[in-house]
Amino acid sequence: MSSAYWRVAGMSYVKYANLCADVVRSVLKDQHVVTAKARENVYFKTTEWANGVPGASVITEIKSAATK
Amino acid sequence: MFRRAAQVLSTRGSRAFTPSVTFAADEAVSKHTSSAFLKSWADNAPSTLDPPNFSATFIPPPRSLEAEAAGIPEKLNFSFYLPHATEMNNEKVDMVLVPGTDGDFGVLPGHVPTIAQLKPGVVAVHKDDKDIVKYFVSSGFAFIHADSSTELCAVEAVPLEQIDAAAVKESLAEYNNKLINAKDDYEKAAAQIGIEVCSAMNAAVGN
Repeated sequence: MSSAYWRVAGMSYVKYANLCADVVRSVLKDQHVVTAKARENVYFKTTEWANGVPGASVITEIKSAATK
Repeated sequence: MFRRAAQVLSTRGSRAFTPSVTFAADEAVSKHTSSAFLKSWADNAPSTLDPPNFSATFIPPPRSLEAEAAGIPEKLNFSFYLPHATEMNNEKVDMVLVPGTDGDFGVLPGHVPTIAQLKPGVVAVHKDDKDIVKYFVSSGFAFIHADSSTELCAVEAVPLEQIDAAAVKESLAEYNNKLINAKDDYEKAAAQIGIEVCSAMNAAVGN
């Protein structure tokens, strides 16, 4: 059996699973949508260290419904 | 003088065909015989010689058939995990219907150990004859172990009541449009994912 269509298009399973979850979350009723959408937000801070000294911090914040 | 020859030959022949040698490897060497042997070895063997190994040390012990004979448990030990919540933890249920990528299947106690990838679809947990709980699962995996404990791991799982049927229809139309207007393989795949999930939700909600 050949690969799944999303694998062929270059998507990882994690990306596929998250996209599926995004679709499900977007069609919920009323207040469920709000609580669910809050789960989609991605926020993390990256700091590169060199020679024991931290460099600049980069904050990555993705507020829901990212398709890339 | 040869009157008794035939008789003697036949008895001798039958004795010759009796297996008089049983190979050591065929016998399970019990701890008792090996310890008795080791004791007499210690008494008689020169101290420079190591005692021999027994085949039992290399061959794994026979699988305890009692564990198998203990049989199939009455209820399934079912757990349902999401990244943000534990939907069910070690609940005793009768059966779980699972939407696998290779097809929908039901898990009963005694199911063969399986790891199954799930497609977007409905998981129906039959707690007993009357109590059936249904969830729509976005995707995930089901793990069924030999002792009939089952785990379902999904990214997103919602009770069917929480799905807005009208919104599903709209999304389906939207993703169909996106598929037509897709510029590259990636966007096409993303649109196909949307179509797959929305179609499954449509079917689940009963359109």
